[in-house]
Amino acid sequence: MIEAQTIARSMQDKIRLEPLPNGSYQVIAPFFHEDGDILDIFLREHEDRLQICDFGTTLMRLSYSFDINTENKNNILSKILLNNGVEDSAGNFITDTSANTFFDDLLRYQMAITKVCNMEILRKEYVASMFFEYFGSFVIDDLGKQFKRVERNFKPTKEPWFEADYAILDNTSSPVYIMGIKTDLHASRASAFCLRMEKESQNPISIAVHENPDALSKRDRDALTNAVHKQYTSLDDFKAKGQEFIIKNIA
Amino acid sequence: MTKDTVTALLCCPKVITSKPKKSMYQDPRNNSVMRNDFSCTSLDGIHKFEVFMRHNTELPTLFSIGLVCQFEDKNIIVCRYNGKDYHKNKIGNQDAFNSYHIHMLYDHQLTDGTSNSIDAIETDKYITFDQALHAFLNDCQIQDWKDCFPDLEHRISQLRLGGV
Repeated sequence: MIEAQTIARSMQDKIRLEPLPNGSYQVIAPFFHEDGDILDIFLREHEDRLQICDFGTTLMRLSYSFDINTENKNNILSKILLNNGVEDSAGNFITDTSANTFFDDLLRYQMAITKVCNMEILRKEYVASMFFEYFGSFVIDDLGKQFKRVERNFKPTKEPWFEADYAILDNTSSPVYIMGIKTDLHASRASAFCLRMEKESQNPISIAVHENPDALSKRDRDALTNAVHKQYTSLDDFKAKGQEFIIKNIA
Repeated sequence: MTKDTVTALLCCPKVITSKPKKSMYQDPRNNSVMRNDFSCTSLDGIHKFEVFMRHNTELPTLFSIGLVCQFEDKNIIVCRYNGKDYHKNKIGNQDAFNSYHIHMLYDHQLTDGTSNSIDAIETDKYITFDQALHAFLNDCQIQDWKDCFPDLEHRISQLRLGGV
């Protein structure tokens, strides 16, 4: 049985206002960050407007691990705020409110703050860990529409240690092998693969797609350059030019 | 739940490898925040760290000074000296308070994906940003901090004379 009245009573007095020395009020509500700190939300009168604001605390918290320092990040932030009716006033996130609409405005505001704090998911290490996912998605979903036979984890000689991430086999006399390169290990495996295919007297086209070539050691980067036919220094570059290259070479 | 590994990371002697700016400066993206950052390494060279310092100018009791440990595939905040604010723990207990507090991870959180949930304990080590910074630099055994913060002890002693 749902004890509706007990539940309703338990929600009373969960939100209160505490006065602060600067004349504003802190909104004490059961909204917490992942680390257990309360969401810093305040209520103030400003130029005859009643406003919910954060006095810059949201961006302050985000800056522990992530800075909004590029046009792209600013655009993402602006979208979050715009879609939740929140303004950015030099880092202080504000939304107008009134005594009658305060509760609804508060819920909308705390949702915006939470989404902004989650922007740290755009941190380099999170994005970097998605490289193979985005790479695979492009080959299978996008190149897969253009080419009839796209194989995953392809072993041309059936030997388990010589494997290409993807193979395009529309023209069997001119197979295309595509390998994603993130670490030195990926680079050395790709180099070994290319050298092995040369010995097989095949006429393959080998393509290396880098996440970040500067992350590789010079030794492994140079060995790959000498072994592979074509390199793209980023996934974006491969997406822009890879299909055209493949079409030209399997014709 | 232990904190031995985290405590060892916190307390291992460190040297500064990339100095902070000479003083806190206004965050270019946020008019309400003063900030500064620096890097340091354990004396044995094994562990690399970043330190961030943030201070809210609108609400001076809101500040944060954190030690970030750099692992191979991620950076983790292992401890954070916080200003006065409401907090409720989630991992070790359900303690809730409104005071100055220090966040610190449990060892298992370094590898089990829960490092964003970082419990805290109340502290009476500091009540100002400068006092928190002094406590942090000493607790974290940053050996050469006086080179980068030459006026810090003087500012703290002035507060004591002033009765704060």
